[in-house]
Amino acid sequence: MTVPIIGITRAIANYAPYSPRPARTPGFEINLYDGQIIGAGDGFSSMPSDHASLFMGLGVAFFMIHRNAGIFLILWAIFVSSIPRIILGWHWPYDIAIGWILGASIVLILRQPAIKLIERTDIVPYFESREVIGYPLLFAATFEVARMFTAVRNLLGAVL
Amino acid sequence: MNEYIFRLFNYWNGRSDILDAVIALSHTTIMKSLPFMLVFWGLWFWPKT
Repeated sequence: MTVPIIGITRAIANYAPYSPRPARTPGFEINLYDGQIIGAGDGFSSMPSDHASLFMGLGVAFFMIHRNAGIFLILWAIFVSSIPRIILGWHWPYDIAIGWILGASIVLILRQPAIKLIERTDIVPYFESREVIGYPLLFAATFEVARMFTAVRNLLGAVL
Repeated sequence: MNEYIFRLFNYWNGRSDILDAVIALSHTTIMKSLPFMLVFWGLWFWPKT
């Protein structure tokens, strides 16, 4: 589920009209903390926020599995993963709001097809019977999600 | 409107060392993502009895 969220969000950011980050908008003064580097995210369009879409999407997905954990994670996605990006001047509020809507919508739309795909391919029983392969792969996948697919992006950037 | 809301939040950037530290800490990779991973693995291994 995280792959389509990041894929669709980045595709929109790459192909929609370029929107400069607040910190990179010419003539727009913002507050910076001491030593803050405003080059972060240089060259990337700020609309929509991939952080907001990924973490809100994950929060909504977990909400469908476990209500209390989902509420906690949605609040975390809002107050820890997303809003500091406005405070730091990396995103406009609309970037974050669109990211939240996008992430939640992708999860709601793709939930049933994803469940059917997982059931049809029997991928869970396959890896459960091969834990030696399954758990390292699952760990690597969750590690990459936690790092916002940094290694995958670098790899694709080097190949493409 | 977008700019107005932005100003409301960005006003707090660089206002105090403590607030800056909290925001910086909240935005490290581990703080952004760790609860999601803990919940994922917690639910995965939670006894299904």
